[in-house]
Amino acid sequence: MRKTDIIRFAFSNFLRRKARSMLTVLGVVIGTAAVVIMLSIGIGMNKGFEDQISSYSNLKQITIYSYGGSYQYDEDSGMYVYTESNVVLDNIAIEEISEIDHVQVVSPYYYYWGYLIMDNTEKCSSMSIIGIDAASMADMGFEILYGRLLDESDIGTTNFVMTYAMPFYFYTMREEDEIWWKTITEDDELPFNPVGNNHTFQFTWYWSYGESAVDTSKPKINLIDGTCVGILAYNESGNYETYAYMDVNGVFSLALEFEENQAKYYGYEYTPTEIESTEDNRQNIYDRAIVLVEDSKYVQGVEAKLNEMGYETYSSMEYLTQLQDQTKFLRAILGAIGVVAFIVAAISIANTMVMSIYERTREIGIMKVLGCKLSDIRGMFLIEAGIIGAVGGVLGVIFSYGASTAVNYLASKGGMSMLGIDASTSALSVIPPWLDGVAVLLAIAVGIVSGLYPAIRATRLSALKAIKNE
Amino acid sequence: MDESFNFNLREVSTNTPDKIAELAIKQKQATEAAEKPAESEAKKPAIVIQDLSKVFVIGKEKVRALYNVNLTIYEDEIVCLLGTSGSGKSTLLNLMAGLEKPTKGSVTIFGERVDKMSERKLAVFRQKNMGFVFQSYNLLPTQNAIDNVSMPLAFAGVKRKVRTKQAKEMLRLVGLGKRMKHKPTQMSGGQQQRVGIARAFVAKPKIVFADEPTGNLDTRTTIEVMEMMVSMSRENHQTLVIVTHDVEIAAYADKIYHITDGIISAVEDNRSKQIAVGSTEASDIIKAAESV
Repeated sequence: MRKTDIIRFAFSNFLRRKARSMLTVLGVVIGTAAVVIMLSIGIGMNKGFEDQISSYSNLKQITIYSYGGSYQYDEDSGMYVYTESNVVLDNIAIEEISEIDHVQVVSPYYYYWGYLIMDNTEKCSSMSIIGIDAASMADMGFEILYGRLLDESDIGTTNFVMTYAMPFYFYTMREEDEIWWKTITEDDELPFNPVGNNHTFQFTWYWSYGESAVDTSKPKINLIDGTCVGILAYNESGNYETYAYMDVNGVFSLALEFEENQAKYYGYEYTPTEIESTEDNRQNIYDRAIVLVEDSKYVQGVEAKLNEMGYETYSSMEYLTQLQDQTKFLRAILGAIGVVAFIVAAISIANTMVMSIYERTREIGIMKVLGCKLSDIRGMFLIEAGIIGAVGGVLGVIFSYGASTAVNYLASKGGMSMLGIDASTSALSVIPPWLDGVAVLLAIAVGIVSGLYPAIRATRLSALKAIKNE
Repeated sequence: MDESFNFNLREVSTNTPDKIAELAIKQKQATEAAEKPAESEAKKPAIVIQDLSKVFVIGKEKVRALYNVNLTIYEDEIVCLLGTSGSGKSTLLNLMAGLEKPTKGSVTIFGERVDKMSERKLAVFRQKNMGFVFQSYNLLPTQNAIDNVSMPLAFAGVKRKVRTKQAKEMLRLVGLGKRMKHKPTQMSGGQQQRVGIARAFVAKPKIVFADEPTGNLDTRTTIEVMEMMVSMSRENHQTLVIVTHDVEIAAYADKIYHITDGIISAVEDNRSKQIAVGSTEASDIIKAAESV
């Protein structure tokens, strides 16, 4: 028999008993929808965690810490012994890390302190200067509000980008009190726009600069000019950060000048901080390194490699994975409910097909006597079961979309939140496109598998017995 | 347990060993006499049956349906297996068609052992060589006449267009040109059997088996159906094997095998007395039947 004829026969059999076919299809629809919806809630849950975490951090980012050393338990002495870390964060290390597969950008991260004077009258003292690789700033996921991010042109300069919170921390020297803490929300208007020619900025190391009379007998305290090229957008988790981001080499030159000036001012001998690291003499130079990976799915692999190299790391992805692991059990239960529904659907398909064989015993017998091959008879039944699965699967997926939309609508309207995920901002049920395909294929597979036994039964019918069956 | 036997159980099982031996001798004489005619040797054998026995086991009892049957049916021959209900004639037909396996002996059709064939091989063999006409028509109730007739062609892998054309032609030939789209339930018994005949002949098989083809039909329709089958098989040089209990039907055959209690009790060369298709004898039979 031709394949098309087998399919035609299967189709006409499917359409022949519409009521029963539809009931069986309904079973598959419910089974498919159950699996899809249950999985979609699990996926939505993971997506919710992801949304939540990526709202305040970059999921593609790994931070490497250089702690210098750690306390290790020593079995011989029974005591914790401090061991110097043998991994250092320097330019050589940055180079090595950037060569790891899927690493997009590695930037050093260097903390420095200082105070920022604006227009010679105002000062911000609760701040840090952070040295990064200016050229990589755009890749690090910073969001600019006014001006621009640092780029190649800022390498080695004291050009800086300030965080959204910083303008709130300036106070008039001598007249106002120093500001230590301020709660800032998105709605708070910036007191001024630091970008452009309206304001001049100078960095200094002297904490009480501008507060009291200057001792003129001492060497002059130097102020280093800086240009604010941009201000970052408001960031919920970063609203307490008062950072001036600067190219790391700019920070080094600033630091050297400050230290030299400080030594002169207090009259002690100046020894410059080591900022050079050579193959023979590795020095820990940076406080951290920020690693950006091409995609969040590579984070764990890269992180494992870094740990292998001896670095201490942190990533939001790791935290996310932990969160997702904790809900694995819940997701497994949801999945199991779906699977049970599917099994019920499979049994109903098998039942329908077996019944249909009883009904068609005579017909199958006639076909056999007229020379229909066993494989063709088997094919007809398998395809009919497959059709039930396919129709049920497609309808089930369509139904799932409706149900999913309804669930999300109701959850967001009811202000529901689950496991810390707010239903109004992230969907409770998420159906990724791959799930559609998988669900339909699964339904077809279940149809065919449950049709297998009836199909084999059909071929085993005695033709003679069947045609005598009146 | 095989329930597919259809003969009188009591009648057969009362046979004593002595009676069986007696029957065996009778059968040997009958078949040997039939093999003698010189003109049959010129024809090629289509179906060769040797020492064929079939025993059904029902519970603890063994029932003999066929006993050491030997016969040869030649190409182009119209043969009738004539016997009463329970004589074993249907069992013989089922064995020839490979629908049942013999207990002993062999069935050879065109040199191939039908009794040794697997189900898979039999299906293909039937497609190529056999057509069937049943007493109860055995049409598929959900399919119309065209689809019923074209079914054997569909099983053989003929394209839908081609097979529909052939089926229509065949239906016209059996006089159902105006009922092609009808379903079996919308047709009379005679019309249904004509669809059955069209189905049996559509693939031009070399052998057509007909099991009580007129059992459910009135006399006029019986004659119509018989004449149709006989003329078709003559035209296409097909072998026709008819199983019946009706002597009037047997009259259309070239050779009549009388089957009694599982043996061939007599073989009759009917060519001299044969009813010709469209002869006055046939119309006389109809008249006689209808005047009652």
